[in-house]
Amino acid sequence: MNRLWRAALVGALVLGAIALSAPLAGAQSGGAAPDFTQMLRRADALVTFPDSDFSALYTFVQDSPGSGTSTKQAMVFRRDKDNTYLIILVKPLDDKGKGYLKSGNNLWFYDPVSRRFTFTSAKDRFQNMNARNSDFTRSNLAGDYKVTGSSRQKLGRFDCWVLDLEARSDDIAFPRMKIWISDDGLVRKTEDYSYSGQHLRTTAFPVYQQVGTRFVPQTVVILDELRGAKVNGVFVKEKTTYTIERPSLQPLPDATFTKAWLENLSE
Amino acid sequence: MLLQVAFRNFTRNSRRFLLLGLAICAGYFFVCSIQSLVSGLSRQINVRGARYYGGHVIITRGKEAADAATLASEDRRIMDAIQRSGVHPAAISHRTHYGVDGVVFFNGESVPMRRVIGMDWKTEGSMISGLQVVAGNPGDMADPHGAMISEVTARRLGAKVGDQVTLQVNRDGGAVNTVNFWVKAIFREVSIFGYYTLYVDRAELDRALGFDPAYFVTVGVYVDDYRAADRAAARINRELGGRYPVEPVVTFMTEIRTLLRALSAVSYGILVLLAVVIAVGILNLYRVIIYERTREIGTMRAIGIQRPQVRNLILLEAFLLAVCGVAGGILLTFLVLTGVSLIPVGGSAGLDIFLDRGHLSWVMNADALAVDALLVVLVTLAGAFGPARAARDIDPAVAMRTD
Repeated sequence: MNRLWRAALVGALVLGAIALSAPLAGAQSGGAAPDFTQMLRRADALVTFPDSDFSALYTFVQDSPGSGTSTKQAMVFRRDKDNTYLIILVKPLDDKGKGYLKSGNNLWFYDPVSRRFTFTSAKDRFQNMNARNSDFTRSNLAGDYKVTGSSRQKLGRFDCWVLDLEARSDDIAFPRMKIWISDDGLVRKTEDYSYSGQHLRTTAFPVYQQVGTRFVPQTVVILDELRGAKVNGVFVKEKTTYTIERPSLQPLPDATFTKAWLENLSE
Repeated sequence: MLLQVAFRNFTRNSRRFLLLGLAICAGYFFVCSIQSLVSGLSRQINVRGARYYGGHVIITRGKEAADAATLASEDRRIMDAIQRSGVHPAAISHRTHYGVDGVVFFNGESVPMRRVIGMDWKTEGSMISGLQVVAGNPGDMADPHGAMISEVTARRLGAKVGDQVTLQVNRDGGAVNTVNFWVKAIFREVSIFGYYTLYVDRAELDRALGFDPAYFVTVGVYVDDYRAADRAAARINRELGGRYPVEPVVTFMTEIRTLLRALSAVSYGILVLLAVVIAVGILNLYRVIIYERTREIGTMRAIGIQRPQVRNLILLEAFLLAVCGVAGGILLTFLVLTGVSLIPVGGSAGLDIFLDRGHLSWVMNADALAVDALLVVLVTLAGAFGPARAARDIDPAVAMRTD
């Protein structure tokens, strides 16, 4: 019996170790190159919530050199299995009640002053900041991009695979990307390029927080490579930093992802 | 002979006619000024609109992507129709217009564009060169990597001629693309037609948008007289058999067109009012004149002048009055509008679309003026007709007894 218990304990420890080390599965730095499509799939899976709803409070700080900083706060509600989200601004007072509702491929912007919904694009800038409306949707790197190149690189304290990505179709906002995936499978940095190869923006995901079995960035820093200003003779890029607080996987009512709910919430 | 007598009567009694002559002159000046200003506004709108949309008549192919062979075939069909229509274009443009998603970047600054215009400088350059260029040489736009930006955009970007700006667009499918252009010229243009307008090479813009370099959205026809645009559009449309929308450029500016029509209607309303005033004034004046000249008319009748000749004499005098009033009105209009157009007018956003380089624009259209003049003459004659008939019927014996 003792032997049986010991065997069970060892088995549990091994399984636990495997489970714990799962995010580090790509840690191998030598030998044959890993399956990068699989790596992208895994990176997507780690930040996607197919079995539950997701909600959190996002705080955006926009730093425009020469014009100061501005802060906005929004509640984000996501239902990844339906590819839908609802965002409602809660701060500042002037923007309170403005909202976005994504349903499938449609994205509406709601203005509580005019009480009207207008179509907007997922590719548009979110509230004139450096984030895009598409940044709040579920990650689909493996579906949207194919890997055209790879290399190993150390990014701060992270050992990463650097993958060159090319969009599979012309309807993806950024036709080319460079992406840093750390050995734990999480995306640590991305660089977005235009079709002609112009570097458009850089996004960093320095810290993640675990929510259930998945991960959510704690802070995201987006640098606009085209916008900025010279401050004391040095060119400083426009920057948006957003932090994600109070992440929750609590189920949300179906009505959350409707225009009526957005209207009621705005009032 | 009768005309000589009428002229002599008119000049010898000028004081009698002076007041009414001045009234006709003032009224005609008023109507003529309004119509000349409306024509000036109309010309400005048409000139600017033609530059902005690529011609006085716009044939819209549509935005659908197509391969080079299809595009060539569509182009041939449109060009053949233009030729068959009998319209003689001053120039023909092929354009790709890109809407509100275009953004121009320079040195960290960005300016969203209202319209990015892809054009062929070789075929359309002479039409575009009418833009008021404040820096650079628009002729350098022959370089496919050249761009013309507005003064407002240049100021916001901090860009000068010779700088390289980046244009960001969304490709046909939606993917972001960027293309670099060298600023070749900076132009000054009014708000709606220019603040956020960028001129670049069509093939370069087409490539950036993910289309074949032969892609075009519109074919524009420039005509020598913008007033013939409606007719030209109708003729080309007939030849195309309704296959593509063919519209005069003002159709794209409905609000401005409505405003011009309203102003035109007001000017015609004033003309009608003026006609009534002239008719009543003439009627009253000639009643008095005939009364005052009863003896004179009696004498004329006594020396053998026939009844119809008396009537015609009075009408000829009225005709001379109208002609002098109209001539004075035209001269006054010309002098006043020339003087006014020398004064620089502040460039408020609402008014500047009607100005020509900061000055009031006006056009004295000979045909419109002739119609107005004819109306004034006819009304004057109509007003004088009743008293002239009364003069005709005066009995010489009775007239000679009158004090």
